Amino acid sequence: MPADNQFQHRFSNGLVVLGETMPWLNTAAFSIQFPAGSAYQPLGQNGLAALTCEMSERGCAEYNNRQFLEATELLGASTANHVGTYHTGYSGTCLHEHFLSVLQLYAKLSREARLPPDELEAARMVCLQELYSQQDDLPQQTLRTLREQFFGPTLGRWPDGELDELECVSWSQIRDFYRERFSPQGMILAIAGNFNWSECLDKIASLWGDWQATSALGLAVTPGQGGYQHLEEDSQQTHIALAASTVPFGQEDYFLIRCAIGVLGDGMSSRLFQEVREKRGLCYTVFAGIHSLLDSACITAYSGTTAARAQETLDTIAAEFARLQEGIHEDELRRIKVQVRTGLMAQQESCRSRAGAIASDWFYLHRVRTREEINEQLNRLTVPRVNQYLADHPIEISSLVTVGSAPLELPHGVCQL
Amino acid sequence: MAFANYKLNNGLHVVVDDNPQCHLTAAGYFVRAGACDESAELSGVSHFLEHMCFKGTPQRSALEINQQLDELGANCNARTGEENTIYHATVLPEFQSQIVELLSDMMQPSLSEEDFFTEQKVILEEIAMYRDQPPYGGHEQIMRAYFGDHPLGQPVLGTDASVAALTPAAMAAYHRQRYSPGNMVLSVAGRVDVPKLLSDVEVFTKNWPQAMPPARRFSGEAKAIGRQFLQIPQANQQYILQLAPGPSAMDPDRYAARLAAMIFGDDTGSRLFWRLVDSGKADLAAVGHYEYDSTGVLMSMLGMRPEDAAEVWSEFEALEEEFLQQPPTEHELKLAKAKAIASLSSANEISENRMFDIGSQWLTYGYYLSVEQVVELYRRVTLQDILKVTQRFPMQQKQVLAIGPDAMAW
Repeated sequence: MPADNQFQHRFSNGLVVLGETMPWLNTAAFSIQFPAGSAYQPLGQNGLAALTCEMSERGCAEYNNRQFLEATELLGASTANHVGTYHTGYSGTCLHEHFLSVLQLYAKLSREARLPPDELEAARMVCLQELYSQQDDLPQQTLRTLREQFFGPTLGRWPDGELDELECVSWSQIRDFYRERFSPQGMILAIAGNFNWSECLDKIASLWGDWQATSALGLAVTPGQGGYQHLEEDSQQTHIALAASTVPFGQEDYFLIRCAIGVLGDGMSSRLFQEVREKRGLCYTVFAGIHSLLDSACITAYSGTTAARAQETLDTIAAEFARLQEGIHEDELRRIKVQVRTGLMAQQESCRSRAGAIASDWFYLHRVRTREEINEQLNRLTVPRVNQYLADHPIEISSLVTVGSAPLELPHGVCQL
Repeated sequence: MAFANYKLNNGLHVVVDDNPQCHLTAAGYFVRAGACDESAELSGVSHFLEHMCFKGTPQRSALEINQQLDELGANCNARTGEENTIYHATVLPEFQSQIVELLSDMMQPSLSEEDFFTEQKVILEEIAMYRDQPPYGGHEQIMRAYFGDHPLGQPVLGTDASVAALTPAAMAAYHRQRYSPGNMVLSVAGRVDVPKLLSDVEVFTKNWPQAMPPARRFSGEAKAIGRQFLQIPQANQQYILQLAPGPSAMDPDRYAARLAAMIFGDDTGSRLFWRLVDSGKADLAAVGHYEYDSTGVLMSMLGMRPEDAAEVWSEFEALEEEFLQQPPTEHELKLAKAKAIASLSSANEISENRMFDIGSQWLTYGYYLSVEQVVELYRRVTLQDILKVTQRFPMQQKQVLAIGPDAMAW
């Protein structure tokens, strides 16, 4: 049952509009998601989604590249784009009085992008530059390699692209991808903040309501493989990332494992922070979390530490994964619950994060959760339930990636399936 | 929204921005202690001390501090800069009293030897981590080169050698001098129970020792001009950093300077963006205006393929020259103002941002300008003001550092 300030509407062309009014703010935000993420690229064309996104912002309808950006800036809109596994998304925030004008600009971008052929090489260079600069970011390289290894060549592809494949993407491939994937079928438009729902919905109907859907392509997934991979790098630190399979967001048991992983590696009182950093002083950064896709998910952990201390760091992390099996404690669960509650309230101060959250809920759950629902879910979490889940579902670390001057020895139980 | 400021008997300044519409409470201690306050032997002590404030007090162990922060659901962090150190946390309003008590307790750390030497290893890991990341220690190198003996040239993290040589006793002496209530501001914003806050803080800080911190050295003015190269064979990109003089935090021209920097080098929509980033010649080309108590700098950062570095650099210099020859237009000024004002107004809705705004203003100026007043100051900036500030601070007087695999053909 949606809350009083939550709204939704599905147009006959497939477009889903989700709204949440936050009248105490002066701003409003949008998040537009098209089913045009990296997973939908044909194999061998990793970079097509990123390049299409870059090209889509280089002019639409009556605006050229510069005119479009200046129009958004004059309206005081702070905007961003993002290419993920499933979606290419655009988001923005502005003062509420300019909100409909900003939406109008993004309707033009989504329906009438010029994709100017004479800007293709500049756009390609922008995407390539992003990849070049990422090569100097070793923690990101480590996590990228882990993701590719764990999720495989369809879902694990790095959404920013692959250098050699990006170089070969053609203008006609971009045009086709834009035509096929930028469609009201599968599109989610989430709005949050200070606006009038019926006025906004009328405007959205006039902007996107008559747009005809193209038939969406399905997704054929090739699964990933586990194992240990070491990448040689002349660096001061060794970067360690590991992954273990778990249930995805949306499944009944997700909150149980999410809570356990919070205890393991989220926050300054988490076990990893305490054991690896606070007690042993082994590193500056260490954390664990869950990376969830639609039908698969992994628990990940990362740390970066100087080479001489890398083995001890990996061994300590693996030992903490093993100890988690024995269960969590009441005080640990209590801390996780209040962290979640604070995070929920923080969204009430930021319409941008709220718009993103409701779009994500819709994609994964086909509905938007209310705060009350999440609170109830939290209240139902108990130590015996979490511990029973952990006992019944042993965590098996199946993927390990290290980047640094030398490979490490596998601790007992790691990558030994 | 209601701003108010108070001064406790022990000298501590408390600034509050209470907004009942907010959903959270954000609190932070702002301490006038940073790298510029350190002697060469103490290099890195402010930052190391920031870590030690999380490592235990006479009332709590490090584990208890961390557990309580998480128990309160606190989004907590700390940062050390050239001129100040900030400890902050955001919580549900019902935990206001507890978080202020905890942060206040953390301001009087035990500095035990055991914790000190464990944390020393974490700091050395942090230094190693930054040496692996772009710009590979280049920021510290150019600050040192530009500021020379000026205290702003000191590296915030210190060096391996200076951190390894620090002792708990030297840190304790530094703490006594700098963490005196008269040298600190407590800033609280969001939904705030103000009477409770004031009565709480009186109690929480009543035993804090008071001291007169030594006056800041503002010896010498930065004026180094030159070019350096830092070779990082394993880097894939080339990076160029540049420092040039700009107005200080006290300078009335700072609003014009910020807008001028946006017109020239904002990360989107600026002259640099259209020429170097939108064209794909550089992955990074941006200029920011950084203000300190006694001076200011315009910091430029470029990132590109090593083989393109000479061309990008020469275009950058040509754009600098062009900025003087073809000063900003009304259209450019209007765009920059729209961006600056919109970003101020949006940020204003988040409790944590309000807490940073009022705390930083009070520590720096000892007075507070509301968002509306700052917006008005931006609105009043004219093209004449922009022209004046670009002539006062032409970017030609500059220190440049190239970082990457190949030496630059300048």
